Order: sequence, then C-alpha cells, then structure tokens
Amino acid sequence: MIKTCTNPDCPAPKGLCVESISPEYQQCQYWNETDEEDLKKEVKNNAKVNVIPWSGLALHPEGIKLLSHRSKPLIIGTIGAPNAGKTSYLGMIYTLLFNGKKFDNWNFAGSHTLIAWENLAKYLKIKPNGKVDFPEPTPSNSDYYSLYHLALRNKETIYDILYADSSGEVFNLWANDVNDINAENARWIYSNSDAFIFFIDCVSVIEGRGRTKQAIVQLASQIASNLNDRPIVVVWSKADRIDEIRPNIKASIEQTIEQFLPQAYTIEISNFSKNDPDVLCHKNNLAVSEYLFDKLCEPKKMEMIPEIENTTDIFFKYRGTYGS
Amino acid sequence: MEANNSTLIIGLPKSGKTTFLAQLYNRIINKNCRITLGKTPDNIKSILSACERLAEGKPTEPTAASENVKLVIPVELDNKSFDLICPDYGGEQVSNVTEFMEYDNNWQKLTKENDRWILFIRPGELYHHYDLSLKGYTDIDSKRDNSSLENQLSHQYLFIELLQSLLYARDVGVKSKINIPKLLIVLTCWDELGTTKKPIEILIEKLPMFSHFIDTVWKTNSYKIIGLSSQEFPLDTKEAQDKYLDDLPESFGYLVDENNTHEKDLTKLIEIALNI
Repeated sequence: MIKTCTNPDCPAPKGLCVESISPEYQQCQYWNETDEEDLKKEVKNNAKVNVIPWSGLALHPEGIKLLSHRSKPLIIGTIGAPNAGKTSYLGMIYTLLFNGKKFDNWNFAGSHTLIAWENLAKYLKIKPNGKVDFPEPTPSNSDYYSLYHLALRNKETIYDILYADSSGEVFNLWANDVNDINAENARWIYSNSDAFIFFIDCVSVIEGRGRTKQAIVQLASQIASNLNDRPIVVVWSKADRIDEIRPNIKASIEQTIEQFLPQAYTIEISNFSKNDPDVLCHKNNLAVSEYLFDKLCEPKKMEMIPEIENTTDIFFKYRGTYGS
Repeated sequence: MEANNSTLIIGLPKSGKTTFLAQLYNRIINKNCRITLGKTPDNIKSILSACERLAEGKPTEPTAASENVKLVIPVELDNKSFDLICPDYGGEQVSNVTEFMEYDNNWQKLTKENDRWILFIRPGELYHHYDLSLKGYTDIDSKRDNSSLENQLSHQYLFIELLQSLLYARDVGVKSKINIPKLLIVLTCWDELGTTKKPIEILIEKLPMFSHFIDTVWKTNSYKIIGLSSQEFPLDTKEAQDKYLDDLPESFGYLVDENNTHEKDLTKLIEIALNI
C-alpha cells in the first residue's frame, strides 16, 4: 500500500496540493491510501488528452503569450493602401520558403501559424486554368487581427517574428484621423510593431497618378509622426511595371519618402518572376524582411553618458551636502 | 546525456511501415542478419498477414484502422537488448495529432521514453503545386472562383507540424539545437523514384522547407536521411510474383545510405538508427 493523491492533475507531494493550494497535501480529502494495482488501472483508464497550445491559425494579440515565454517576439507591421500587396507579400514569403529559397542568415525553425501561412500561399498557386487568384481584401473590421509567426535561427539564437497583416481601408482611416473609432487595429499595429513595411503600389500610382500620390503623402506623414528609431522598409510593390509610372510623379513620391522617412530602406518587389533566381520576386521579397531582421537585432547604441554641462537638471547639479 | 536505444517508428498511413516491418521480421526470424529476436513479440498478427502475402509474391495491403495495434519487437544487437516500438501501425494516431492538435498520455510517454525516432516518408506520393514564384507571369483570374483552389494542406505542413507537435509532447524546445531525440528520416519505396540521387537530395527536392527545418532545428550529427526499398520492385506482374516465390521475400529489398551506397541487409536500418 502506498499513499498517493487520486487527482492525476495534482502535483503533490512534489508540488502544492491543488485543492488547498498549500503544501499540506496530507490534509486533502483526495490524498488516500491507494492500492498499487488500482493505481495502475487508473493510469490505464486515464488516457488523458493533451491539447497542443497552438492551432496553426493566425494569432491574435492575446495569443502572443504563446511565444513570449521563450523570447520577446519581434512584430513587423505591414502598412499600405488597399490592394497594395500586403497580404500577397506575406503569401510570397511563405511560398519562397516553401520552395526552398532561404534568407541569407536566418534559418527557418518552424512556425505556430502554419495553416494561416498555407492559406495565404494558396492564392499564389496556379489554378488548373493557368491563372491565379490574388488574396481577397483583408477584412476591415476594427477588431480584425492576424499575426503570422516565423521562428528563425540566426547563429545560435532563436527569434520569433510576427508579421501583422492589416486592411488597407483601416490604414486609410488611420492616416486621416489616428483616433478614428474604426481604426483600432491600425493603432495597435502602429504602436506595437518593432518595424514596418510600407507598401507603395506601382499600379495604383500609374492609374491614380496625383490622387494616389496624395494618399501616399498623407500615410507617410502619419507613419513618420511617432516612428522614432523603428526601422522601416519602403517597398514599391508590383514593380515589374515601375517604368510605367510618370517620372515626375515617381520623383515627387521619392521626395516625400526622403522628407518624411529619411532613414527608410527602399526596394522594389514583384510577385512575377522573369528568371530563376529572379531579383524582384525571389531575392527582393526575402531581402525586405531580412533587412528588418538584421536591423532589429543590431546591438543598440547605449547612451549612458549624460550631457551634464550647463544642465538645468537638479539631479546632475547636485554635488552632495558637503558642497553646500 | 546519452540517448537510450528505444526506437519509435512513426509514419503517416501508407508510408511503407507495414512492408518494412514484415521484411524486417522475416529476416530476423530467419536469422540471416546481425539483429536477433529478444523474445517473440506478443502480438504480430498484422505483420504475419503481411509476411504471408509477401511469401505469395503479393504486395502488402494497407493496414486497416481496426488493426491499429501497438507493435513491439524486442530485439538484440551486440548483446544489447531493446525494443522497436511501432505504436501506431496504421498511422491513424499520427494523422490525428496534426488533425486535432492533441495527443494522449500514451503518446506523451512514447515521445519521452524513446530517444530514437524513425520517421517514414514516401516521397513518390508527394505532390507539389505550381505557384507564381516558379512559373513567372500569369494572368489574374477576373472571375474569382475559389472552388478550384485546393484547400488541402501541403505535405511539408504535415511533416513540420507533426515533428513540432511530437517535440512539444516531449517537452523539447528549439531554443538550442536538438541532440536527443535522434532522428532518422527514411524515404520509402525508393525504387519507385528511379533515381541515382542521394537521399538528402531527394528530400530537398521533394520537401525543401521541411528539410531546411530539420537542418535548423536538429544538430548536424543528430539526424540522418536514408532511402529504403522494402520490396525492391512492384509486385504487379506474374514475373515479379514468381521471383518472390522462387527466391523468397527476404532476398529482396535494399537500403540507400547517405552516401548512396546500396545495402541488401534491411536490418542495417536499425543499426543506422542506433549509431546516430
């Protein structure tokens, strides 16, 4: 005869008794003398099901805790007008990894949102009629969040990256009024992202000309307002047609970027590959993300030495009681 | 920490486990290999019927879900005795892990107690979609018709999610590269590929992201990829069947090691798993 607890989930006597939440497990009603044979039977019947904590679907902000026990996840926010190619970009990243393309220094170590990635990538698959569907517009309700996870190893360290997808409509609302009641998820992405990808849609610039340019200026100025030192990449999407943009409009957009986002790294991407490997499609899509990964992991300059000459700060002016 | 020798055999349905186990058992029981039987297994009903079919020169049949019993073969090699455990002969439980994202305590125990995992994958049955990154330019369908879009998840998804889930069940994270459990990936039905490539090259060609995942997550010397043809050729002609009847099933089948060397002794697969 041995003494055990009949509750299989109770860690006592190794841990606290779950009933009294105390170490006094012997007082617990479930702490009983159990026959060893009974115990074996019980274990056999107790084919308890353990649920894997991720489902493979896109994460919501409250799901981030799934990752935060092992690292501080780095969030990359995607910003751009409707149909600028934000969702397709994410689908293309997965498609490239799926086909064996790799980042230079960041190795794929799994994902807790594989099903969500697969769903994005299916829009880039060639259908039996030889055509593709691009993703449907991302839902624009203000409580829509979808975070896509990649675990990546750089040298010896695992980093958890979360891409925050967003609807272009919501970012348009946010660009015109950051407090718009319907732009809650845009506000969340803007305040919580560690880095950004800002999409400029070449086709929209070709077709919308000055009108599109105006919207880009508004969005860029809003992004710049509280960006601080967070890295950003400006992406010319659908750049297989970039030469069709009127030169004066292109120059004017470039000037806007230079003015509002002088630190931005600018790059052209496309979902259409002309060669294999192809610069716009294969190389640059990955390079957008890799630039941000590298930036986010750069050692930060520590500003430890305060400038104390001519300071008015009484903390620095204090010279100790002996000086008075 | 040193890995124990208990070996867990994992594979989705129709990945070639039955034929291999039948051929392995055939060789062990006929004592023409280095591995010997520790004691006769308790329940080998499902293997026996596969052995009988092979003896008649017929291909083995997919294991019915009702025969989904745990198979334990106690074996001895170099005076060490250990168990080969195939907990899920039909492969249904393994598909359920990724289907329902859950596992029972029995599986948790299996993943924790067995330090060597053998994963069976049949590359000849894997499909790959064409997508934009491969094809170049194509038209965008103006009529949005999702019906022809396959919602099926890819094989790469399945294998990555399966290993992520089993590692989770074992409480092994990916923060540092994995040393234990040791992983042997066996590419089955090698003959149907008609290739002269190495097993690693086939894995990269068929499942490039999965292969990248393994390489990132496991230590280089803690996993291996080999090829296996348990039958050597399809048993769909009279001629092929006669060969099996004349020369006996244990004369057929081969392994392809990581250097592309062919080896007739199928039981070497177990030795390879033990030496990782």
